[in-house]
Amino acid sequence: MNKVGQGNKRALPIILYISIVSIFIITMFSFFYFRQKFFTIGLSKEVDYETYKKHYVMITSDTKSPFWEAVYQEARTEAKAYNAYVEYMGKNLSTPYDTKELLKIATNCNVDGIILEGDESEETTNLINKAVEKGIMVITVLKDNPKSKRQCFIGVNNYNLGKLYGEQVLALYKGEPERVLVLMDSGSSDTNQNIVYSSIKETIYEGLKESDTVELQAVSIRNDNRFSSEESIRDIIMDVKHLPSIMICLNDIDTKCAYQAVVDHNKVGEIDILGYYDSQDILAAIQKQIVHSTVAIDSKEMGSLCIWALEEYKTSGHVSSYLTADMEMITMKELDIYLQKMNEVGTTP
Amino acid sequence: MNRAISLIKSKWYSLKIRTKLITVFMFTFLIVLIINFFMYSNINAITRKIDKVYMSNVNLNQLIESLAAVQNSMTDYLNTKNSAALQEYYAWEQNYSKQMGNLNNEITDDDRLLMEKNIKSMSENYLRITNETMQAKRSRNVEKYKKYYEEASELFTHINTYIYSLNNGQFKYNSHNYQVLLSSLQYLETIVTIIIIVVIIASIVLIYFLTYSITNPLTELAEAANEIAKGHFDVSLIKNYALDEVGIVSRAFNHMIISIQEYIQRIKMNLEIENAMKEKELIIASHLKDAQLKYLQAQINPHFLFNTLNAGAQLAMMEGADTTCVFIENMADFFRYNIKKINEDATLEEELKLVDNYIHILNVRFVGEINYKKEVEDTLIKVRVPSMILQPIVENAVNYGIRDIEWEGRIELKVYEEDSFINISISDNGVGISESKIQEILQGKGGGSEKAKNSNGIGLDNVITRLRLYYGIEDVFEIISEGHNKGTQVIIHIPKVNKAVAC
Repeated sequence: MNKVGQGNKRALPIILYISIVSIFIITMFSFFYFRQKFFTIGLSKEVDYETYKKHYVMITSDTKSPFWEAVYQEARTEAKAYNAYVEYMGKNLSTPYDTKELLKIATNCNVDGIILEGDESEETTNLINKAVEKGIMVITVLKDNPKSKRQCFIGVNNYNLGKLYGEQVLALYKGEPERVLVLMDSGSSDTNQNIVYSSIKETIYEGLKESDTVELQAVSIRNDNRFSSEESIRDIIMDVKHLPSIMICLNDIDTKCAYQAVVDHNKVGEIDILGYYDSQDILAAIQKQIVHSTVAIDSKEMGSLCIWALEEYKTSGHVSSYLTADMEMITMKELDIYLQKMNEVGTTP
Repeated sequence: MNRAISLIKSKWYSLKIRTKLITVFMFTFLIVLIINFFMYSNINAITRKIDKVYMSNVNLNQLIESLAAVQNSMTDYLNTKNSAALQEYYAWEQNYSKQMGNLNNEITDDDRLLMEKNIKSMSENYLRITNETMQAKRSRNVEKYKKYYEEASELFTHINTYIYSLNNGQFKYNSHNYQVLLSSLQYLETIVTIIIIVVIIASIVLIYFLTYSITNPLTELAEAANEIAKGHFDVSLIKNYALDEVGIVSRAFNHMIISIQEYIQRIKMNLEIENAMKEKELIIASHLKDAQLKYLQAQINPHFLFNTLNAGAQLAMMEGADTTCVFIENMADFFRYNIKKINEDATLEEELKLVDNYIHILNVRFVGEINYKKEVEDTLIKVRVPSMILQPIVENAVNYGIRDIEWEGRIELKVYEEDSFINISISDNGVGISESKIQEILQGKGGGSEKAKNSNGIGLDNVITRLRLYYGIEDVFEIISEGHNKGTQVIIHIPKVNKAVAC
């Protein structure tokens, strides 16, 4: 005991020294560690932004659409080069507004330019005109309002689009009578849809000698409230007696609704869907042979065209009033090549 | 490192207990203080941040209220054309403009900031329209103000939606921040708890060792003191290198132990010396008593004999018998010396005289002549020696050496110097003594009843003992015999110092 006591006594200063140093180190370490953690996480984010000179907005009828999202992303990226920022208007709002309301808001926000998914209603025409009068550039995308004073329309060639669909219908034609439905927006004043429809019709009837065997029918999908298109599509598919053999969808939401309804009602193989847009799930549906083919509009090109048009107008004071974006038909055959091409570009839709 | 440790060690040992205690407690308190400071400063920082987090929401809510107030006061004025409403309108309008000023005005890629910018632009338009509405109302242009009012109302709704949306966005963002802050608060709590636990453990260890370092020397001290109290003076010293109070007491105690041990050692030595001396004295005294007793026994005869001898000597003288007279005188001298000198030492001369007397008596008594020869250096005759040492040796030489021999007996006595000794040699040409006998004599075992009968009472062992005691030398007495019938030589080695003293 004595010996231990002696040893302890000698060790005391060393223990004291070690304790003091260790406590000091632990305290200081914790202090700095905490400070570091405290100041690095989360809070200092708000300073992380860039400012721009020009404010453009993009207004579409559906902010959830992946097609429009792709267009927006490209437009935004493109705009940066011109020291401009593109705002996807309505996306962050708690209340869903339609394009007309958003157009009003954008006008009142004194933005520099508006990229608008147009429609051919008179109200829209007036609103576009009002904005243009206020000195705001307006370009319409995909759907035009030709009566308005908009500076430019960027879309696809609807005639070609109809032709593509028509060719697909012909390819699917097996000599038996077919019922082909073209799902169209109820906005009857849209000439674009009509062009597509007539183009499809023309292509089919030109390709077929016996025109009786293919019954082409335009179905108006009620688009007046938010979820109506889905319901309308289900109605069609549940109507077993008048089941179509081919459904042509003219937008991505309709495409998704259609293939979901086909799957749900076990009509895969009975109904061929000709879709629209090349989103991941639509491509997956092609792979599973639920959707026969889809039309891929080059959304990137469309996005960059928007910005180019705005900048062109801003700098030169005029721009071509009609610009087209490329599109292609993707079937099971082209799918692999298409995906490969996408991967090479580095951006899968 | 080692130097630092040894420096700390020496520093620590030189501290007083009070300082040590204060150091340790101050250290503990300091750490606790630092922790508290750390904790409170961080809690404050967090609280401030939390305050800040929801500040943006508070501001937006105020903006909504102001906007609503502008709209309401405008509606009120349009309804009633009330001047109070007008004033209210202007007040709120100003208020709202002021609040609007805080909103972001730049085009950024941050959604919330961009919304602020939109709100600001819309609000500017809104205020312009409301002003125009008010103007139109004043000028009672019903068509106009109705149109403006509708426009303003629509814009009001849009702005409201925007502010609400922004508020929501802010709230989401703030909630995230709030969560982060909350988690950092928990984090802080954990850190502080861990530090406090560590500090407590370290403090307990420190205090344990500190008190141990203080009380352990005291316990050791008490144990050592108890040992001493029980009479065990050979306790080991307490090892305490500290310079504190306990260290001082320990060192004082060690001094005390050393002193006590030294003192005891001294007393022991003195006692031993004293005992040895006493023992020596006692031995001397006992031998003297022994010799004395023998002579006292013989005293009755010598006194009577002595007087008788004197009378005899006178008678012989008167009758003209000179030889008889000398013989009787010699006898008388012999006995006188015996009686007189037994208690004190004598000179060598006196001793030699006694031997002469004895030889004379023997020569008269025994018909056979004893051939006695002596060679004495004159310078040595005054040396003092114990009394009654030579005669017993000569008596021995006569009785055991030459008594029964068939050739002429010779006794030779020599006194001479050799180195630092004065040697007295008594040799005979008698039967000699065996080596074992010599050893017996030297060890005090010699002599026997036979000797007592024929001697004057003093044995050889008595002589040897007295010589040894007197000179304090063991080898003072030497017996040499070369063998049977080759005679015996006895040598007494007297240290010269005694001569000097005697001279």
